[in-house]
Amino acid sequence: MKAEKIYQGPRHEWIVFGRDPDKPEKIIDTNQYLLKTENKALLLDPGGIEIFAPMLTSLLREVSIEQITDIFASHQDPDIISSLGLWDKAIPTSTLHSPWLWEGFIRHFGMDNMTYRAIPDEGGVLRIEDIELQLIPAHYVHSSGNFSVYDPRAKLLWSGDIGAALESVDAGLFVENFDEHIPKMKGFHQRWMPSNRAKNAWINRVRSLDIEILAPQHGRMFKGQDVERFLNWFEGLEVGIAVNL
Amino acid sequence: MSIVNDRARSYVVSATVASELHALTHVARQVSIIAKNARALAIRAGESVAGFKAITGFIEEIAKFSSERGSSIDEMATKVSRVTVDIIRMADSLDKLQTCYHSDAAYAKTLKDRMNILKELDDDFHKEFRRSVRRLKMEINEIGGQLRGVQMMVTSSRVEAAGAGNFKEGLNSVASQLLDAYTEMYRHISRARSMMNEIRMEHI
Repeated sequence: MKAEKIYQGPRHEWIVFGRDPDKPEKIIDTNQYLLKTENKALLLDPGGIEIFAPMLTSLLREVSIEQITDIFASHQDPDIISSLGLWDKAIPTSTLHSPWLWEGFIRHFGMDNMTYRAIPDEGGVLRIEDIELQLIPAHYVHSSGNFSVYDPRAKLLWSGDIGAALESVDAGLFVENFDEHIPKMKGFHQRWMPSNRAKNAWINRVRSLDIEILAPQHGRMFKGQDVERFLNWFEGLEVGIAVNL
Repeated sequence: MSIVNDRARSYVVSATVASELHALTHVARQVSIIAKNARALAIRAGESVAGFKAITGFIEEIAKFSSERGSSIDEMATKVSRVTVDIIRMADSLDKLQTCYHSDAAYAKTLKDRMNILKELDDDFHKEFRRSVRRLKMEINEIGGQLRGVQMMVTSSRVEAAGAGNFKEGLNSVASQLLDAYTEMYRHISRARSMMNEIRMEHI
């Protein structure tokens, strides 16, 4: 599994993991993100059972097991958090931050030891040492209880499934040609995102943020002007198309 | 068969044993109804079936015993299934942590303490499993032994029926229903017993 540092600040750094060439063929490729401070680490959308071992090995190249104190799961999907039962054994004293709406469901993945911190619908703040992250509501884009995470210091918007693209495991980390990238994400957004109203509400919410990197859970990240290009494209996209089938 | 398949087979087997024993409690309820009918019949027949009255008491006891013990060993079998799943999940976790521990990751060895704790928990699960399986086998054998008494009751009921005049048909009917219930209960117990023999410690 590849690991790449995407932000280095004075007090924290962001690392993205993914493009695992050894993952089973039929499971979707995922990006996992790590925010690391001096003594703590937050893992965002740690992924499914199938990638647990390579993911943990990759993490242990960066931090000790004791340093992984927090996990964030944006929603309940298996590619997001079906590995929970294994993390629960590996880091039992850690905290899982996830929407309140999904607690009773996510616990089905197996959670005997970790602490569940239920995020209220309106979002809030997640603090890792002195790094303050904003939890931004992204309900119905696509899950009915769902959050994006914004790091104002890194100017990084972690967007979960928003901005996701279905690509091969050897794809680059960042979008290089936005127009060529559109076909790789169009179908995904039209089918998985159910509500134009919810989509536009999220766009309005994040437009006021100063974003340098938009980091989705699948496919390439957006950087610089491609962030605005993505928001404009997404705004004009009709979603929820399966209702017409 | 691979270790993984053997493990999976073990929890399927123990869950199947639980379902067999749960079915036993349903039959025990039928036996309880048979016992009530037999008692009503004995009261109507009066002194001509004095020996049968004693038999009805025994049928009631068997119904009560089968129902209570069936429920408790059904719970025991469910517990075996649950512990087996715990063992399998733990083995899966340990396998994966082991892989990471032996990797070249800079912090791989920081997993050691956690793995030791999990291994201790794993030992506890295995002890619990052995204890539960032993107890379950004993209980199944005991209830099987008790059921053999039902066969004698069926024979006694038929003997009593022969001298019961107008009540002969009714008593024979009770004996037949009892025999059917016994056959069904025995089938569940036999299945549970033979499936329990499939659970071996080396499989998990």
